[in-house]
Amino acid sequence: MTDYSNLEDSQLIANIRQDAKAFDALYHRYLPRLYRYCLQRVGNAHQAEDITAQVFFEVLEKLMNGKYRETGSFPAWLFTIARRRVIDVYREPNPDTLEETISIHPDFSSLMEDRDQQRQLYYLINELDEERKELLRMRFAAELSFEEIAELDGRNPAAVKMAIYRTLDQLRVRWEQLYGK
Amino acid sequence: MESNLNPVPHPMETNISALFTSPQPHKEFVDDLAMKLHFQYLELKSTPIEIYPPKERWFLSLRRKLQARPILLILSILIAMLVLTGVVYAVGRLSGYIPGFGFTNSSQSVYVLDVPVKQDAGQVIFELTQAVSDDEKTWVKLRVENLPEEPHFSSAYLRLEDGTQFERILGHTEFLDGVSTLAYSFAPLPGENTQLTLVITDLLDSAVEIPFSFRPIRDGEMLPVVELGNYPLYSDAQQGLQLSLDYVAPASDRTVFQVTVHFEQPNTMIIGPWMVSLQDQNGMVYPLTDITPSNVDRNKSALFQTSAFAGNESLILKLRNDMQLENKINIMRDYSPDPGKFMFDFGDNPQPGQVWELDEQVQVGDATLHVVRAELLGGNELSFEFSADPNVTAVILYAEVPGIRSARSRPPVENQNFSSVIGFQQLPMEPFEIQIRSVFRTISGVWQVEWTPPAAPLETSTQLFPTATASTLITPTPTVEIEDALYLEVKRLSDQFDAPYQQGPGWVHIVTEQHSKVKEGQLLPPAYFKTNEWYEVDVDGYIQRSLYTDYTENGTILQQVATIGNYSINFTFGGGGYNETDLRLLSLDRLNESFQHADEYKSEISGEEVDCQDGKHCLLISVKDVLEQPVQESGSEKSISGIVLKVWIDLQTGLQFKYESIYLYDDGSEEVRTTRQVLLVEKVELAPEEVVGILDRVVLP
Repeated sequence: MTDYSNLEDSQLIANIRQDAKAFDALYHRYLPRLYRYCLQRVGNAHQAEDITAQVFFEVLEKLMNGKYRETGSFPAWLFTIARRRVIDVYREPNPDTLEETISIHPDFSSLMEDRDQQRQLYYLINELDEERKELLRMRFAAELSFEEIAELDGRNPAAVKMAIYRTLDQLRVRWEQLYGK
Repeated sequence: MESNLNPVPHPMETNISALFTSPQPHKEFVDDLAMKLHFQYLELKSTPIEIYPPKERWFLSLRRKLQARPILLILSILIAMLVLTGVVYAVGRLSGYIPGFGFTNSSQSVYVLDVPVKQDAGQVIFELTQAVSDDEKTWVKLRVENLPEEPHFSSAYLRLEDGTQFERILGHTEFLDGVSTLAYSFAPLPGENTQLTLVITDLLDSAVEIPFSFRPIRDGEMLPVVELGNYPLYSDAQQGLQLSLDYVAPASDRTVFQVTVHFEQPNTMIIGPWMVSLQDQNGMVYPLTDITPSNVDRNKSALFQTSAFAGNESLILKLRNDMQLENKINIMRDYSPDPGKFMFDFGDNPQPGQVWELDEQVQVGDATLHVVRAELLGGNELSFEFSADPNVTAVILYAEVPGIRSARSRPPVENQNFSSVIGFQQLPMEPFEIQIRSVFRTISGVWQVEWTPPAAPLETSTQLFPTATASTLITPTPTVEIEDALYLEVKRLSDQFDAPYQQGPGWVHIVTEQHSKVKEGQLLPPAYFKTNEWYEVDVDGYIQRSLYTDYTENGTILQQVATIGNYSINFTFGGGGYNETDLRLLSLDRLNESFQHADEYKSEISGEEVDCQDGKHCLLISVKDVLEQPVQESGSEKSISGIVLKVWIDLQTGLQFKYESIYLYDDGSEEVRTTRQVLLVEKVELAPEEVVGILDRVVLP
């Protein structure tokens, strides 16, 4: 019996029409990353689940019907679809999404010292512009490599790497401004 | 300056990784989606037709959840009347109200458990002993033996033969001599469903499924009654909002309870985090830890744990949302089914910065909004300005044109007009309709439940209010040998100031104030607030416990954080957990870390003697960090090129009494963003009773 969990993405995709377990392996490989990315985008677990499900149904349909062309990496393709579905949500006037668009606490960071740091970091990240926030989501929630993010954004990997480091540098400075080093 | 720095990850990096990677999908969701995808796979393998669910279906599920709230409210009120137990009533009396069952007008619609069902799950034995269903509700009761631990609450649903699921509405748990009694209520079942499965989802590691059968009740048969306790308890309904205390589970060392917010109008929700506070009749605060499991809709309900009770306390449970404004709740109502509407036309060749003066009255629900102007921003974003309305803080816009990209709105500053922005991929060429689909309000009132809690089980504990104890793990503050004259002078001064406060045991009290520049629309932090810090130090000066409170000029608490050992809990926002850091030595020095990492971050540190306020002679230290690349500040045209931290040290006492954070911009300008000043440092034998009381009541998880 083939152990699909050890196969490369491209090998799994090649086997999908022959064996459901190949897609199952792909599903379990990317589900946590996709879900976390969606959750970071929409901020609501129910919606993140909805979008994650939509993306996987769409991916399955495209893979089964030969609509996936292996010209790049699978995760870059997967997260391109995810981005589109997230944008669909923003088009929908759904209350769960709208909650996130209201800036109730735009800058709460300087209130606390070194307590409850993750919550404070959340506010610091919210101070970033959308491009930088998206880079952090791609890097840390989706766990994409610099090359995969570059492919997704149509940029040079070195430029992506530099942009992420600058973003972290910016966060570090803000962090230290608030909490000391 | 020399340094041999330890390559420990920067705390920001540790936190950012945890922040992005900690949320995991629910196992139920993962399994359910895997199953659906498998069926889809089989369909696709047999036919190439696209049949995956359209996205509308997924959104529909969310809307259904919102619309179900009034039903829950009605059922909750009915079940609140259930007070009798072990009593049976004849079917002949079902024409009116039956305690424990509510109103039932037809015995034909009443179903009862056909035969008791017994089932094992490993060592655990489940016995479903009672079940009743009628037009009003469905409930089941079962006995469970050999559970590995005492259950507080459990989630359950009923599954019909066609797969339809009915989520639990209320639940009740009793635990005595190792035997648990569980009771759940559900919404009424549709049609004549007699074959069902009770699924209990979070009692054991995996879900427990218990199939059972209903049959119509027979003439003359007695109807069992279930007790679901004296709960829920309800606050007064104000402005269409009500708070309920749903369940309470006393344990030997803690009390766990669930609260729910209910709205009179459908499609309404609280915006932003909401919490409850718990105080007794003397104003003593009981710290609450939010332990809401991931499968509970936190928008609607929350579970908290607090200390155990004697059972004679008079408690007040109060709903909180806006930390800055007492007795105010921010809510949003979705008007998608009947939105407010007005027309807008860009005209020919619209340009960024172009303004349209408007005079549109728009009716949305019971609100009449006045649109006064529109402005085209950069990036194809159109901003509408609305006249100030005391009842409305923001609206979200929508338009049924292709390529809507974004929508956002911000609360107004004080009583000014507010604006709402809608973004397009391409600007519509023709006149089009703008819809107001969501309205945000701040409602005022007091939503509180007065409550006498159940006593902790006596046989399991002799200490009703256990004092959390600090970890004994103590590590000294890491230091690096630095031979810099300025550093040595700063360290000498800080050591001089800290020394008497590090001679414990005792309590150190620090009061500071902070002035900050705030952005437009920024609510928190306010431009000015004070901080009150209490530290309990041991004989060596290490902090064992602390209470940290931010409050406004008029005394309103913005947030309160308690730390016991290395466990911190935020009473205001509900966060809590163990810090990775070990116990800290009490110190008011904020410059040591800057010196320690100066080489790594290429900081420029300088010092000069200056005359300060009140004739003090001071040492002013400046720590300048220059960014490798300027960073565009959110909402500003300028970019930040560096940040300077200035610290004033009293040369007589050694106290670092004033801090300033200054932004340097790429155009050469600079701006003081934050000023923090130490107002008081004192050491006392014992902190005030309210401070010690709060810390004593913190329950470690």
